[in-house]
Amino acid sequence: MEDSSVVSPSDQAMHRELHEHIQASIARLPEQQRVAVILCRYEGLPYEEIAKIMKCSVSAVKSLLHRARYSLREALKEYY
Amino acid sequence: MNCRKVHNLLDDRLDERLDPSSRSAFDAHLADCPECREQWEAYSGAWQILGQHQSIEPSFGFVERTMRRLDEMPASHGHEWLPVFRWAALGLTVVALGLGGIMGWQRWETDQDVAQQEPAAVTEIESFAQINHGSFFEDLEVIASLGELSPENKSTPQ
Repeated sequence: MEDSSVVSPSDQAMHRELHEHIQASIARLPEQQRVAVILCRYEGLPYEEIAKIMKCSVSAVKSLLHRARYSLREALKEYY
Repeated sequence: MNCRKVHNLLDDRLDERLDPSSRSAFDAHLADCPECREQWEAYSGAWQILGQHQSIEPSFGFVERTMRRLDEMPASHGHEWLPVFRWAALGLTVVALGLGGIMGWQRWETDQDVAQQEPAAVTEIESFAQINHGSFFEDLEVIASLGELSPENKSTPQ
């Protein structure tokens, strides 16, 4: 019986490639957008907390995230 | 809810910041509008991919958070015995140095006593040699008298 938890080498390679592509896409973002994305997506902070850390308004955080998401959507469109 | 409003609320919907009624209206519009649905799927798809591929590298601010937590932690009680051993080692070192100094001083004093006695013995030997006008090693009587002068020979009979 085949173990479904075993990941094939080709899947591992694809996963690694996507991982590197994501990291490169985030790295290419302007610094303010990159910080906002990391704080929001990977740290799970609310807009208000991000605004406090980045010393800007909540609307500025929303704007940064919106522009970053559009850039990432274009960069990653071949993967979803 | 129209397409423009949906476009403006994409981020709030993505971050779960919409109230229940706005969320229902948003989802209802997507169900009826293929263009907005496609835009939403593309917009949210990239964001979902980011979440599925968490970086294995330390997250942003990891070092700062770790250092802050370390500062907040109570002081460790696991090595309280270490200062006791350090003081004991220091005490033993001082005692060893003191004993070494005392023994060295005694040894030095003994060497000084021997050094002071040796010239006197030599002087007596030379005087015997002069009295007998010759090499005292050839004169058995002188050698015998020298044996009597030696401290070891005084106590041990021949």
